[in-house]
Amino acid sequence: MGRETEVALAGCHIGVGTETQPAFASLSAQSWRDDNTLASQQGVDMQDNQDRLVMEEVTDPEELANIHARRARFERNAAWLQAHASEVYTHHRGQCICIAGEELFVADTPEEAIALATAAHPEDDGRLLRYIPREKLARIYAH
Amino acid sequence: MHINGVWSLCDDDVLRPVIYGEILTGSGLWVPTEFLVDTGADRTVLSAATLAILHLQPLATQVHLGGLGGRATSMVVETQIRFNHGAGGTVTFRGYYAAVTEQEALDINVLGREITGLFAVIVDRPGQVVALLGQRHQYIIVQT
Repeated sequence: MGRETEVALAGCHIGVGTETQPAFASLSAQSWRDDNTLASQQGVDMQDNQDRLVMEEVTDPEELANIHARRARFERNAAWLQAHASEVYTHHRGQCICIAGEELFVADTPEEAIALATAAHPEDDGRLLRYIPREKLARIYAH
Repeated sequence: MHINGVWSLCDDDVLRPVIYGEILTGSGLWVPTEFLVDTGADRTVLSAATLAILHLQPLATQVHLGGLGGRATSMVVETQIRFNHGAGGTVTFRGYYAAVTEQEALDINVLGREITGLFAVIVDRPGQVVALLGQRHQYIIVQT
């Protein structure tokens, strides 16, 4: 069993649980567990999601070691992309790219890009996947 | 809690604030990915590329997501997103997340206010800082 603490964060009273002890408090009176009816609904009001977020702290040392190792591999691939960004973005618009083993793989779909990367570097689970938009233009996200 | 991000060079030669994280797939594996720190985003939204490799069953379709380009076709999936924090741990957010289904609609996952609203968000280009601060971590504004 892991540690459980409670903290005040951004005006909300929130508890921190563990993977084996998901005791984290809900962010509103309506808890995650109480809301399994959402799955059968169509046209969900996404505002509701704000009331159903559950936050947990991973405390298992073995799991944390796996996370950090994968993160290190991902950061190496991200650094490779940053170093080759101009060339990659220029030549692969409208395509999916995947960086694995600090090597570039390109395909029309994300599944194909991942498959190519996995075949060449099955040991690298820190793969970085991106879609390169067809047009180079200023963007406003804010969904 | 202190979650660090980076300024990442995007395809339009713009540096954008990004946090590295992981998303849980339908088969129980965690895949690393990037999240744009978008303080204007009401919701966290996954890109179509990310959605394609998660193999998650949609909980709902026809979720209404609007932006400058109009409404985007999207769905809702139930999954977990997690981030490493400065103390060496990892924090996980279980929830229902929207995901667009068209590649051109979104080229990167967007981290929205249902998560960023739990933190003080620093997006400081001159200082080259991207960070989410919560719990015992705070920031101080000083005049130099």
